[in-house]
Amino acid sequence: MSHGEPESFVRKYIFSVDHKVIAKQYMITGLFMALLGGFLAYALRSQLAWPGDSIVGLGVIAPHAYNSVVTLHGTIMVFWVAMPILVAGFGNLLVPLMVGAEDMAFPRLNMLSYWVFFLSTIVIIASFFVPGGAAGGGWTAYPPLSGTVHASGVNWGMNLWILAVALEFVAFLIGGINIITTGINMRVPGMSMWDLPLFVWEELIASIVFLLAVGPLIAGAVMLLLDRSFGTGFYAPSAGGDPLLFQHLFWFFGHPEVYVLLLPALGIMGEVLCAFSRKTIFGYRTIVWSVISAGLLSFVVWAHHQFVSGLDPRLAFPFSVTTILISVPFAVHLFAFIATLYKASIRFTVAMAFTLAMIALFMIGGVTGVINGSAAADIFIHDTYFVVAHFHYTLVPIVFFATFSGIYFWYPKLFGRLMNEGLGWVHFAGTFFFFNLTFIPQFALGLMGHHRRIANPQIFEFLRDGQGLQVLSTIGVIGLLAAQVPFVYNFFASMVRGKPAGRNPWEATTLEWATASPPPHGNFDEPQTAYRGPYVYSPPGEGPDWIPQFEPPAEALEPDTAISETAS
Amino acid sequence: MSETTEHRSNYFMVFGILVAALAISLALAAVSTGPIVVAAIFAIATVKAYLVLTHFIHLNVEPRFIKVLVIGLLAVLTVLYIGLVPDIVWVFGRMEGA
Repeated sequence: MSHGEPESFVRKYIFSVDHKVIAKQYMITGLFMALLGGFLAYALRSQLAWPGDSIVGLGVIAPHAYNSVVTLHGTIMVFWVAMPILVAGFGNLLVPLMVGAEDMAFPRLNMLSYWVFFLSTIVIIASFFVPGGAAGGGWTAYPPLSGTVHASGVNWGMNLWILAVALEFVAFLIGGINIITTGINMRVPGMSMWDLPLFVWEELIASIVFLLAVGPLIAGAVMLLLDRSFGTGFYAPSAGGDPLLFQHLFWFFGHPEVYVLLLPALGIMGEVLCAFSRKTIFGYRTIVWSVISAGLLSFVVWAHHQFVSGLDPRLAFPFSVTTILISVPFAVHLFAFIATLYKASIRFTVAMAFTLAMIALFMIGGVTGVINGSAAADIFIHDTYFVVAHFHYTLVPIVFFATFSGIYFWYPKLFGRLMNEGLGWVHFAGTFFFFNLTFIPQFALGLMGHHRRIANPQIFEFLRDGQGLQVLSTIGVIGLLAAQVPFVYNFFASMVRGKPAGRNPWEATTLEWATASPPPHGNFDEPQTAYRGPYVYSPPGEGPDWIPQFEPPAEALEPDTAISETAS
Repeated sequence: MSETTEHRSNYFMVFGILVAALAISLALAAVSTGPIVVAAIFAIATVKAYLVLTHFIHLNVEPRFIKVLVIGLLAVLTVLYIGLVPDIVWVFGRMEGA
């Protein structure tokens, strides 16, 4: 798999097979799409706060166009922001470095993966500009709304949506196979599976879950395309089909997909927490087993999205039970993180602040998820803004807080410099405040009965009292977008003005800190060896409060500090 | 490499068995579409899938982890099937007696 350092600009920066360049390509594409998804959020929130008014930068949104705005906001944020940044971006950057490999197992497949993803990005953006506009069937693309042209008035927009999502899945299947192979087969000597950093474990499980879950949805999407384009009736009751089948196939993938996004985010949190609390992670093996069990359970919870769909009532109870059950491994996970903080020597950096905020906010998302998981409660709140607020309290911390934490932390390995901490704190404070301002009012709006996909809530008398909350939430989203300006400036300016980072600016222990910042082509000056577990912080005795995984052992210290030997 | 050579299958023989199994399935379907025949056709299809997985997808020479992954995939497929049956197969009115 070894490959020489490329000479030409095109081979080095465009069609590169270097995992670090591909990671940057995924991240920058994802961050660009986040701006697009954020603009759509601003558009839909403005429409809800001031229905029918002209929106600055966009104009008046017609009701059918509102459906497209909502659909593409969700689609882009999940498939073109969360997936490329968390799974592919950080996965590409960190998995080879953390296991001590010189690149991914299949570098050319890796490049293919990015360019298939890039093609899918072009297709989804192009769908805005075709006659009839972009897809309007919601990010879940339920038939009959998505099944026929006359249901939503959208023809090519929906076809392109299906094509783009299919291409995106192909890209991440290729990428996932690469991550699994690299993480398992390319570990340096001395690194057992129980010496893997948490992030690698979480990426491995996320990739396996994606691999196992995506097949039914690809089959479902092909059947949807056949229904739309070739007159089949898989989802058409008039032809003997059933729209409920698509819901099953979508959520059989869709719910594990939540964990595909969540697990890398938790991995980022684990790495940042250890480095800045100067403590060995609490319950390493317990966390790994909880991740594995969550991966297994993720395949038996999907129908909780369908409690009001006409689902067989006999299915509601088992899916309620499994849904509530799956909160246990994640509660274990968060408990371990909190226990890691106990009596720690915490270093408050921007990366640490985003991780701590993520724990707090994700717990709100988790607790409201338990409410949704109960079939009886869900019948009342289904498809309301309570659910919208719930999943934003899970997904925004996962996708954005973890991403920001990871970018501030591993920026040295991306660009060799440190980001500006002052600007980082402004970014953190604005993001945290305006995120809560955006979504707390939505819990109240949901309990008032505000359905998630109506363009003008004022036409319903029972929602008119909530208009103040609509405006408050919209001010929140405008502030949230404004709070990203310092980050965007910091991200690009620090590439040239940032303080040079050195190899290990955070005094962290895992293998990516053994090499230069940014790592050279081939990653390491010389082959590495893992001498201990990944998180040896604050060992007993005098001396530095960390012992890197790659540092040859001091004989007297070694037996007491290897996680692989002490973890129970 | 030498190990792979030792495990190389007789692809033509396996292909012949698959064609014969297909012919038997088609012949059974031509005779009847009753539940016993349908069950027999599914059983033949299972044997065919096993042969394809073993010989053409080379599971007979893959490491244990790959086999576990395939078993995991089949388990996931089974879970999906069980979840779909009450809604998609046994929906009241669509299949009598359910």
